[in-house]
Amino acid sequence: MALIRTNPWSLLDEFNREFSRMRPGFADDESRVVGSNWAPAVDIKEEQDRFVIHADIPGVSPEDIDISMEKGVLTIKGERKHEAEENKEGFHRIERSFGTFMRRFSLPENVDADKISASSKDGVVELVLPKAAHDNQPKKISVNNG
Amino acid sequence: MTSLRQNIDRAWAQVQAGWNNLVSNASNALTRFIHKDEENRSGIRELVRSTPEWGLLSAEVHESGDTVTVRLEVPGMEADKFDIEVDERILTVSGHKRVSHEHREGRYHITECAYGEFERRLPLPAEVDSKHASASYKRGILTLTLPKSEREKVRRIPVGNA
Repeated sequence: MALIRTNPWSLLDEFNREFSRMRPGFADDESRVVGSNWAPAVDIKEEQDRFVIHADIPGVSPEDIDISMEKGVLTIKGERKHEAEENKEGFHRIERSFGTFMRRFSLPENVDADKISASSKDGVVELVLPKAAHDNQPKKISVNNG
Repeated sequence: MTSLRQNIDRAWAQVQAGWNNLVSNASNALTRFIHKDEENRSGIRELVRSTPEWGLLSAEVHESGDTVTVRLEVPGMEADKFDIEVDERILTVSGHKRVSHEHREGRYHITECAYGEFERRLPLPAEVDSKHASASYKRGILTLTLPKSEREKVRRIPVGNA
C-alpha cells in the first residue's frame, strides 16, 4: 500500500490565514510563524478582567510547551514528539503533524505577565491572563475652575 | 472603489483555492461537528454556535505483525464518552465534544476549536478481533490497540524452507 503523507494542518493554517486577513480587528497577523510544523487551534475570550485562551494541543506533554509574554505579544510554542517508536514501514495512514508548533497573539490590552497561569487537561491547554489592573478604569480628568 | 472590489475578488479567490486545497488533501481528517441545541447553559450555546462546524481529527493507522494500532487526536474529551465500533474492516469512533469550562461573561475574539457531535470512520488494513481490542485516552490522543483476528494471523504465516 502506497503511503501518502498528508498535512491537513498546514492547509488549514493557510485557509485560516486567508480568513484572518478578511477579518481585521483582533491582531492575529503574526499568529502563525514561518518555520514551525503546525499550529494549534485556539479559542480566545476576553472577560472584563482577564483573557482566557484554550488551545488544542493534543499529544504534547506539559513540559514541552513553552509560554511567554513579551511586549504585549503572547507566544505559545513547543514540540510534539511521537508517542512510540514504531517501525516506519507499518504506517497505513499518517495525518498527524509532529515537530515544532508556534502561535503568537498581540493582545489588545495590557496583561500582567507575572500573573499568567496555565493548566493542561486532555490535550487542551487553558491560559488565564489577568489584565493589568491600572488599565481597567478609564482615566478621569476633572477640570478645575480657574 | 475598483481597488476594493479587486481586493475582495482576490481574497475570495484565495479562500476558494485554500478551500479546494484543503478538501482535496485533508478531507479524510476533516470531520463534521454537529452543533446540538441541548447545551442549555447560556453563553455556552452562543459559543458553540460560533465555532466551526468542521474540525480536524487527525488519525494514524499502524500495522505490525499481529496488531493494528490507531491513534486519533481528539482533545478535550472525557475518556468514557467515546463510542467505538468495529464492523468488518471499518473502525468508527464517535462522540460528543462539549465545552467543559465554566461560563463567564465575555467576548470571543477567536473561535477555532470545534465542539459538537462527531463521527470518524477509518478503514483498517486487516480484519481485527474486536472482542480483544483495548483503548486508552491520554493528553487528547485516543489510542486503540486492535489485535488481528485469528484468520488474519493464519493467513499471514510465512512459509519457511524445510
